[in-house]
Parts: sequence; structure tokens; C-alpha cells
Amino acid sequence: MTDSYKLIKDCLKGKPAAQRALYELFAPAMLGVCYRYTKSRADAEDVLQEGFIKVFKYLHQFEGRGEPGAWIRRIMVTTAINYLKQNIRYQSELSYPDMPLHPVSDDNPEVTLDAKELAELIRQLPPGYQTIFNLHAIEGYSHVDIGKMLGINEGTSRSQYSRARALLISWLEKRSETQKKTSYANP
Amino acid sequence: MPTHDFEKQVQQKMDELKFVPSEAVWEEVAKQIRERRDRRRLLVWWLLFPLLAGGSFGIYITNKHIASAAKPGKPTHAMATTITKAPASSSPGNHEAGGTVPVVINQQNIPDSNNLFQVARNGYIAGIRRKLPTGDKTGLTNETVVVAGINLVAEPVPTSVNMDAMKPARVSPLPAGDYAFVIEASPADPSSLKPLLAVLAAKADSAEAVKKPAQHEKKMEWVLTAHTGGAGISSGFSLPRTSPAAYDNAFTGSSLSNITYPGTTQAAVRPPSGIKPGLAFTASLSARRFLGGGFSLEAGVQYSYYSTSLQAGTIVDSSATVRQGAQRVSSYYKNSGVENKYSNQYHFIEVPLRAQLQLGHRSPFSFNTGLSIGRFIGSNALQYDAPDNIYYKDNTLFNKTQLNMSAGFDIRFLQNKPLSFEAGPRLQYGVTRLFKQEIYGDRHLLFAGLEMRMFFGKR
Repeated sequence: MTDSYKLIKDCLKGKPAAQRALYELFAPAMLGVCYRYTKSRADAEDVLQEGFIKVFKYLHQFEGRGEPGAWIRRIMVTTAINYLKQNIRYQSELSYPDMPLHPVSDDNPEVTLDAKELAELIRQLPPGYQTIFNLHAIEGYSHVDIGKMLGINEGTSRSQYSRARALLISWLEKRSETQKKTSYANP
Repeated sequence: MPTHDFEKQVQQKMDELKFVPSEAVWEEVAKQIRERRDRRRLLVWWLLFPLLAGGSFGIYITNKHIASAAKPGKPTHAMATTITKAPASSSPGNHEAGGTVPVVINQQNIPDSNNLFQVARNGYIAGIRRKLPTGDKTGLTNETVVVAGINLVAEPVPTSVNMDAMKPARVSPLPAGDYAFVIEASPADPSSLKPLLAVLAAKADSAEAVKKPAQHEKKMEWVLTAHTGGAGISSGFSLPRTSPAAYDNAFTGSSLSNITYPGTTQAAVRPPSGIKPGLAFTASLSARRFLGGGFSLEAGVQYSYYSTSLQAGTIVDSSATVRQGAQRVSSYYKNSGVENKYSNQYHFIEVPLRAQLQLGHRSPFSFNTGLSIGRFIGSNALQYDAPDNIYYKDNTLFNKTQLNMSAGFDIRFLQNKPLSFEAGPRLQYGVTRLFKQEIYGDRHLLFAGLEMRMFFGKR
């Protein structure tokens, strides 16, 4: 990752080639992050674009502590959350009703899907569930932090997460069963 | 299986999730980086330019001052403009022939002094004496007086004076202080003094001419200013955009779009029209105060009109009003692709504050920079609603108070006449966003054009 620190130094000197190189180094993974939070590829690219504009704007604030990738990823996640809050297409669906706490199941099924298939399943979750699942399960934010980020109660975050998790697991199990049936039918 | 194993698996899978973004994403990011860099550079120059101009002018003045102090024949200080006749010693006949008496020249005695300006300009001078402090009856001391290399105190004055012969009599740089021209001459032939007196008077005039601007410099004047040129909507400091539209950042989400308009459909999505620059003009009356050293400050009141244009599409007038934010809208333009040019007009009342620096003494050229605080007073401008793809009027979306920065150069005509004019190019940039940021993003009003100024006031 020494390369990325060097690239950041060069970017701060205003070298266009370094800016392009930094973008190319991180853009594919960051588009994956944005993709998980949105419902369409175009929206994901919009978030990526806004996120990278912020990255270059605030690059001088990156003090070299920690991984550049993690810093850029945090910016992408924040940008994605803001995008969801501001975009009318998500606004109506992005609600976090207070619900009774749903017990977190102990189910830990094996995930046999590839990354793209799993991402598609996550994106099929309702936007509220999708966001909280992404933030907690994948980014590792605590429910307290998620509550602050989304302006909701910690309990609501927990409840929504457990429901999202249960829903996702049920879908995974269904797919697994379907795959088994298909394999029996076509040995 | 350990707890959270599911989450770990999901995390690992998602870390592998990568897509190659389309080239358009980088193009837009690179464009934004460029614009931000250009904005920074322009801002730095904007701030530096007045400093550089002021600094250069200061250096120029200082150098001129030093050069003039070092140059023979050029007194460092303006000379006294009043030259008085010494009492009891200037009347012919009262003195012995061949003796010397001090004759203090009274400027009013000197005929045709204006004609001798050229001589004075060449730097020849007959005699100089230091003036005593106020209260001294003679007003003179007996310091050395030099005319054409002759010490007039010690030697008799020649009965006739050859101007050319006086050329070597350049006076060395003088110490600081007020000076009076004094000649000591034989009373036997006072008329022979005339050429000398004339030279001295001319020099006195010259000194006065140098001093005059400072003494009679205008303190204040009234200025009528008019600007005319083009206005556009810029993205940051970049030039007015015609394509894609200034509206293209509209609606990443806002309550404005949460309505259904009669006659609109969600199906056909057409990109919003580009916004083209349009005519702009301003008129102002201001008072200008001179602060010395070519600097002046100015404040006044200004009316400003700016316009832009777009292709608005088909007009829809509906009898049914629909709620649009805080107001109701019954008339709007549907972005149908039909070419229907519409002129957005913006009206402001502004209070311009302007600093001006004359680039050299008596130079007709000047540089100016300024700030103005404006208040939005009205507009017929159309706003764009992306989800419904319509244009409608809503003046609540404007930032009502606008701060503008400006800079320009001027050339002044008829400089020494009671009524003079100034003209030159001018650039103005709206520091404040024209619209509320959440609607269109970073959009500013830009003006480029010519200014004409007319000055009147007492000298």
C-alpha cells in the first residue's frame, strides 16, 4: 500500500496522472461499495462520482494514519447515506419505523453465492433494511453509530438489522433448496 | 460455527465485489478537480492583484522620489510659492552703487512668467535661500545664494544676464525645508534683474505647478457609472455553461418534485435546456473619496439587470393549481423539446464599494477592485423540476442577498476638465450562490462587460 501513499502525495502536488492512478486503484472496489447501497448501477456511479470529488477535495485532510482505502471507503459510505437521504426515489422508501425488537437468529448458513449474486440479494432488501445491513454487517458500524448516522434509535437499528438478516438468510436458504432440487432433477 | 460467521462470510464476499466504472465518472471527477483548481488560482490572483498593483505603484513612487533627490537641479521638496519682497532694501536709489542688497522677489512683480516655464523646466535656477521660521521679520537668512556660479552676496550682479550662461547654475539637491527665491542685486539697474527674476519666478511657478495638485487635489467627486455586457450562470469560476445545463445538478432530491402536474408524464425524460448568457446592464450613482497616492474609495447605490436564456418548451396553463413547495403553480413550461426561447431576467439593488488605484501620477490608467452587496428584488426566471421535467417560476429558490467581487481597468478621458469620463473592461463574479445550493449546486452569477463612468464635482 506504499504506492497509495505515494499517489496521495503526488495528488496533493496537483499531478493529474497521480489523480487518475489513485482513482483507478480504488474506483472498482468503491463502486462495489456504492452498488450495495443503491438500487441501480447509475445511482451507484453517481455516488462514486460524488464520493471521489469529496476524496480529492479533502485529500489534504488525510494525515497518513490508517489505510487510504479505508478512509476513501468511509467517504463513500457517508456519501451513499447522504445520497439516499436526498434522493427522492429513496426518500419515500427509506423509513425506519420503530418495531418491536426481532430476536437475532443464530442461523449462520454457509454463503455459497458469489459476490455479485450476494450483492444482488442485499439490494433486494427494502432500502431501510439494506442500509442498516450494509452498515452493520459489512462496514462493521455499531448500532449506536448507525443510530447517529441515520437519526434513528439504537433499538430501531437493531430491530431492522435482525429483520434484514433473517430475510436475507431465508432467501439464501430458499435459493439453496432450489439449487438442490435443480441438481436432483438434472443429475 | 462461531457467532457472526454469517457476517464474516458476507464481509469477505463483499470485499471481492468490484466493478469497473464507466469513463464518464472519471471525466466528471476530473472536470470538478480542474474547476476547483482554476477557482483557487483565480481567487489567489484576485487577492494578489491589488497587492501587486499597489506594491508596484509604491515601488515606482519610492524610486521616483529617490531619483529626484539624487538628480541635480531637482529640489526634493516643493518650494515656497510666495516670494516676498524684503523690507527697506528693495527700492532702487536707496543703496550705494556697486553694493549688494537683498531683493526678495514677489511673484506678482514678474511679467510673463508663464512664458519662462520652459526655462524652469530645464532645471535652471538663479538663487535659493532657506526661509526662516514664521515670525522672522525678513523671512530670510543670509545663506549662500548662487546665480550662474556667482555668489551674489560677495560679488556684484551682472547688469545683463545671459540665460545660456546660467545653465551651469544647477542647484544641488536641497535639504528638507521650505524655500524662498532670493536674489541680492545692485539697485543701480533694477531692470537688469528682470531676466533673473523671470527665471526665478518661472521656477517658482514650476514649483507651484508641482505642488498644486497636492494643494488643490480634489477631495471628492460624484460618479455616474453604467455597465453593459453579458451575464451568465457559472459553475464556480468556470465560464458560463451552455451545455450541459446549469440545471443539470437539480434535484438530487427535494420536496419540489413531490407533486404531479396536470399534463405531465413521467415517461419522456429530456435533459434540461442549456442556459445561455444574456444581456446585462447596471447603473449607479456613487461618491468617490480621494485618499492620496492615487487611491480612492467609492460607495453608492446601483441597480443591476442580468439576463440569461433557455429553451423552455411548451407552455402549460392549467386552471387547476397544484401545490409547489410553499406556493401554488398553475402555469409552467413543459420540457417537450419544442424550441421556445425564454429570457430569465434578474433584478438587484446593490451597494457597490470600490477601491481604485491610479497607475501613476497624472496617468489616465487606473485599476479597480470592488465588492458589492446586492438584494434580489425580482425575477421572472424559470426553475427546473427534474422529476416532472418542467420549468416553473419560484423566486423563493434564490439567495436573496448576493455578494459580488469585481475588478477592472479604466482609462480616463478629459482628465483635467470639470467633466471627465472613464471607460474600461470589467469582470464581476457572484461570490454568493445565485440559487439555494440544494437545488442546483454551485451556481454563480458572472458578468463581463464594459463600464462607462462620468465624473462631476468641485475641484
